[in-house]
Amino acid sequence: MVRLRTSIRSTVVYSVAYGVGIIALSVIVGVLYPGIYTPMTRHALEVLAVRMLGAHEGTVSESILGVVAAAVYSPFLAALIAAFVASGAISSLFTEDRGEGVFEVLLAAPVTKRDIVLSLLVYTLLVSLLVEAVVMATASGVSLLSLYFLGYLRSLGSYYIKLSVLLVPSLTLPAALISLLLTIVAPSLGSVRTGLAPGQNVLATISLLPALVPFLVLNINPRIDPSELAFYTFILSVIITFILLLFLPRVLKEETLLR
Amino acid sequence: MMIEVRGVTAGYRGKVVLRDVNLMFHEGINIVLGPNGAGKTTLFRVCSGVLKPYKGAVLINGRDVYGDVGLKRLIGYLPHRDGLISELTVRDNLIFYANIYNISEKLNARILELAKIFNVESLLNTRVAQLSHGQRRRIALVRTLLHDPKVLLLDEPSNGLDPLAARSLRSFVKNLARRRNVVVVYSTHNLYEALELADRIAVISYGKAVFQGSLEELKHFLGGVKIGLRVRGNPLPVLSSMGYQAVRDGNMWVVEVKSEDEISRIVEELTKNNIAVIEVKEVGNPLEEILERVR
Repeated sequence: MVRLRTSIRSTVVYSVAYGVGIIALSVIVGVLYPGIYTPMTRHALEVLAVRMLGAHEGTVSESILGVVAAAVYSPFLAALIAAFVASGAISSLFTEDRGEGVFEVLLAAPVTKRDIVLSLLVYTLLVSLLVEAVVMATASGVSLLSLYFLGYLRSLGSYYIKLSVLLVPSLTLPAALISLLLTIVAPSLGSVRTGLAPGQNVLATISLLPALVPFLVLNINPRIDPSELAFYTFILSVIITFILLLFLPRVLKEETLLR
Repeated sequence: MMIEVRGVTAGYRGKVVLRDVNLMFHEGINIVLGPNGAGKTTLFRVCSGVLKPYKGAVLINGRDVYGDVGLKRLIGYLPHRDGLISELTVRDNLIFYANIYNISEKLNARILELAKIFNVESLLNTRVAQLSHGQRRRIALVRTLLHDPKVLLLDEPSNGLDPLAARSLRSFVKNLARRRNVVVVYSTHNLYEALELADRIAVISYGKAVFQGSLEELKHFLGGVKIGLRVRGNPLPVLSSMGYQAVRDGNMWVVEVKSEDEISRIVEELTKNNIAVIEVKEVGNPLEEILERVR
């Protein structure tokens, strides 16, 4: 909690920036290049707009496709961004603490390896939820407001609410947990850069997968109930948490935490 | 209170750094000497329960330190790196670690007391990231001593400290060791520091404990100490007849001896032969030679 308190401002700033970035990117792309949307995507956007936003069928015009895309896809993009940012934060925290000798002092203190893993886990959960909430609020908030004032938003359907409240956090959590697991098990992965985004690494890329798969599934079949998907990703989070708390401290070698 | 290092073999990722090390650290100041890469830090990590040895064990009063959470409450460990959290202030760091040791009573008073000793009171509300290396080292010392440990493991504690701070540290450690029946294990490259502090010395070289004993015993273990004799007259014939080879060095004659008894015999013999002995003193830096010889 103490570490989160000190990093909260920068975490929120980055999250807002990413949230705004999502909107700007999708609106610009949608407005300037409406042809970028394939027929399948266009159809999916229309279905999702009806289900999620309560829009009338056939009312999603070319001109506002970008804004609709921002509103519809922002939960998923929020999850992807949150997973990216949280993974980076966890990897940085671990690397920094290891480099400064914090783990070494903790291992000499009346603290078990399970305690150390648990503290990293709590930090991971809090950071991922914070980032996800801020990105989601920024991206969805602005795009939904835009749709409302444009008159395309009738009411938020339960589908959108389920998506935002259930699915998005459940996508961010496994990503963050996988990142933590990989960071502890293979810390050298954190130093391999993918070049996909500044400061991102292989760990962040791998941990995105749980967030990416439901995104693709819903794009292909937008009629799937997001709460069902959320249930499965929630189960995945529980499994990873069990691995982290029950098995990892037993197999974790101290030299992984030492420089 | 006693630390017994029993048959410890330890290393990292299968690579052995310490081989079958047997040492005993008693109350008082135990200096650990050795060249870079000898295994001193690994020894400290094993003694503090940070690293599990491949073989053997470290016992504190008969209890294996590895995995014994209760025993770790007695240990204050200052590693090579400070172990401070950069984004937090000094006070937040100290409170964080104090909470781990369940120190709640009179915590502020304890922090202030130690901060005064190491001259860091004015830094308590400063973020650690803004401190110099020497300041961080002093804060780390405060953190190590916060829970009043009975076993102090200090891995090059004076590294990065200015001379005044280093002197203050040595003075504190000496007082602590003598007053509170504490086992202090202290590693250093500073040979004068070792000379000043040591009750006992252990020498580590290439992962093995090659010596443990008093400073005097160490000098004898290595085969001798050079003494300089300032005399009136020519001592060579007398020294040669006693089996010593003497070398002239300025106004001194340098002879290698193995014990204080030999020094007494030499002085007695020279005096008998009407050669006045004006001064006898140790020459060279025996500990530098020690490190060279065990390298």
